[in-house]
Amino acid sequence: MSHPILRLKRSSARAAGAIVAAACLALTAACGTGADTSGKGKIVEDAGPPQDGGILHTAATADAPSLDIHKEASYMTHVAVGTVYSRLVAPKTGKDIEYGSSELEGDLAEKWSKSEDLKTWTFNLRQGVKFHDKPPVNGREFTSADVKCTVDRIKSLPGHQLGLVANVSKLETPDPYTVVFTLASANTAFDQTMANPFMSILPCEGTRGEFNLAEDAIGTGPFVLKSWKRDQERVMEKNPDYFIEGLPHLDGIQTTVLPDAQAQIAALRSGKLDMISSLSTEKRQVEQLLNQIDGLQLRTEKGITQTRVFMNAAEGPFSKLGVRLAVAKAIDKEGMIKALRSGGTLTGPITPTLFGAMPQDEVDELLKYDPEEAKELLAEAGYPDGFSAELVATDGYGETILREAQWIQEDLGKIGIKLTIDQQDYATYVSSTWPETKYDIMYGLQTPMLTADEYLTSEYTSTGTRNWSKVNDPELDKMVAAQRVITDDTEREKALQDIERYIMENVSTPLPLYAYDTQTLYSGKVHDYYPHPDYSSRELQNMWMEQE
Amino acid sequence: MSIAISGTARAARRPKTRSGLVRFTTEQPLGAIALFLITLFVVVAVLAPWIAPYDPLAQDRVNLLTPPGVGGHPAGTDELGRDVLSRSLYGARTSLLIAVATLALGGAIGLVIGVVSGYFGGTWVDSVLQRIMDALMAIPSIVLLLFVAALLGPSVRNTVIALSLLVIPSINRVARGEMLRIREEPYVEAARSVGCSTPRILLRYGLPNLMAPLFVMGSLLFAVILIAESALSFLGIGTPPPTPSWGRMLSEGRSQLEIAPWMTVVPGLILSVSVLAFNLLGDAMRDFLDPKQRR
Repeated sequence: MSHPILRLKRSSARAAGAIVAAACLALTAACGTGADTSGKGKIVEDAGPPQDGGILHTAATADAPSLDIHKEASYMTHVAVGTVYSRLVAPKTGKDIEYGSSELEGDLAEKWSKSEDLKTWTFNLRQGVKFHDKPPVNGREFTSADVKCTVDRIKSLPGHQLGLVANVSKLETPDPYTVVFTLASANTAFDQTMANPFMSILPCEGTRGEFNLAEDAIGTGPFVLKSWKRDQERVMEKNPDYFIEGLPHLDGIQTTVLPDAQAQIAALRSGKLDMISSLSTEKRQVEQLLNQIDGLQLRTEKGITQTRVFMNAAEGPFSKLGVRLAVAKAIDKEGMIKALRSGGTLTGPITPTLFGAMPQDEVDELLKYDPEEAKELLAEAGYPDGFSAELVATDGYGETILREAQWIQEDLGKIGIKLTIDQQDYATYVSSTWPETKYDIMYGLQTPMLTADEYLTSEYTSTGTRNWSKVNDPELDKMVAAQRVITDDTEREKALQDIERYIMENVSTPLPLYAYDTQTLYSGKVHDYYPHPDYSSRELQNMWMEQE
Repeated sequence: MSIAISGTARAARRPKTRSGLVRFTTEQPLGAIALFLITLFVVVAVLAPWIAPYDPLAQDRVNLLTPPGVGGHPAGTDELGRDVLSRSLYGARTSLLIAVATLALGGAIGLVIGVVSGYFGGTWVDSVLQRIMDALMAIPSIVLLLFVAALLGPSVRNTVIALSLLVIPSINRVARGEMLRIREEPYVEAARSVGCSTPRILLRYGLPNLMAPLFVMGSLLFAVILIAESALSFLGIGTPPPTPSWGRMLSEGRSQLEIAPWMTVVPGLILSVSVLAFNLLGDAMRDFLDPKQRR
């Protein structure tokens, strides 16, 4: 595989560095800010007009199990091929837009409108959009037929994403550039649904099975998938016919799969990578890196991945609500964040960055560390002397999770719940222990979801697709169903927060602890990187790299 | 591994007299140092609860990742605030427990198979047993270990089972070789001619005479087990957390190598010295017990 632009050889890069250093000596005033340690890691804003060219070298901690963006629930798939596809609408990103903002912009749709009763949504598509020039699609024009093929396919597949389009009763394509969705029940935020990365629009050739969607990806997005070597690398090239004039700026993206965080850091240090992301690296190590690598930029974002204590609500000692509430009080979450994460925010069932999340001070109050009260709750639940249990955890999420499990072991030990850790491999954990509820208490992560409703419906209702803690609360089921049809935003937000409060006080499993901050480190020549938590990586179309 | 021991091996079986120890020290000074270190290792392992400054599991949350000497922690703390020195000392306990249990289990099985196989050398019993052993030896040891450990899941018991599979064929080889020789010795023929039963011959005349090379083998295997246990724990399929184990400590310290090198250096150093000591002792014992090396 040859790239149009070759990477600078190390020696010439060093020479360039020497020239810069010499220039700095001559202009000490101009480069003086570099000496200020507090300014280390600062993101350079307004770096000038974007320059075209360059290949972004980045790394992934794990590869996508398959490239099928509809069938595969793993967010690794979305990260892998998110830039290959477009959606009808997409979240807006940019310098002046808040991280995780739900503001939308047209992607394949030029404009869209909803009917009075919120049941009919019309999307007017861009004209002249071309698919990537790869067989069997060969760069043909994108039309409304492809939207229909895609939605039909999503409806025919089992799984999580089905819930997103279950409400669509009819999809009409009056002409090649218009799509009309008719919904079974009113939905005030159907455009948000269509902005979900699961709603990536496929060509009909793909949905008809003319090429293998699990191994190839052909879309209309800013980058073309040139090659994929499983568990090794993914190579993306600029889409020359991209429908947004002048984008993308990069010539390509090369992603290397490097599961070991230390290996990624070493590669960043040696200049083999321009960017490493989604790490939850030790604060001190990041500081050290910032001191060692000139111009390195650090972007810290409020996390969206929740850490969770999963407790079996159907059987075992944790089936008693009092015990679960005691666990919630007994864990020193803030201490945990300070000791083991680079930062984090306590969270209710709905991640703080999403619409419907509880006010932060209320979350902090509900999750307050109070071992004394925990002991009382435990005694009231009938365990004044505590009990013993096994805490399941996996090493599949990295060492930090195991450390946190040991932290929880210590904290719960203090109120009398004696835990032994059952460390499982990721495959057993994720395919058997978790979905089949083969645990009393378990600690791990929850893949981020994109709407409040998704969290509540899938995890906390008795019929939820991810109700793997065996929650069975008819009252809660009713509340969750009721919020879905509220059209007024203020009213709906209140309803969502009431549900969360109800969960924290009356269900308490899966018990959310905090969403940890993620850090992205990237070289000084990378600019205009404004990520969005939806992990589709669409923001990379606006990113550019300084050319020497 | 070929260990040449001939007829006089019997002498080594006698309880070590003071003069024996002195002779060993003068003839094998390196071995004596190794023996001293191993004694120290065993003493530390046994007495860990009394000599360790802290509980190895206690989390001192005021002192997270403190360097050696700060906050009353002589070798610093890890990211959960646990005392690195105490964990390293207790790690010796874990390693010793696993190594002894493995040698006892694997050694016993290997010995029985080897002795029986050797006594019936050349018959179908020997062939069947040895082909099974060959099959076991044919699989690369690290692959075998990973397979068994991953299959059974991480626990001290399962680690012992996995490591035993490594020990059985080695012990079996030595025991069988020795037994093949011993069964031709006049005293075995004599025993047979006065009508001793096979079990009695094996236990009374076989076993005592083949122990010497097994001691040497055991010492060398001890080092192998220490390393293998650490490797498994390092990979996360050995001793489960929070049990202190050198391998796990190394793996936990790896991500902090730049910020908190003491987390890796302390257990790493102790592990290296222990393994070296067992290897040196094994070599020294082999030379000491080998009459051909004597003047």
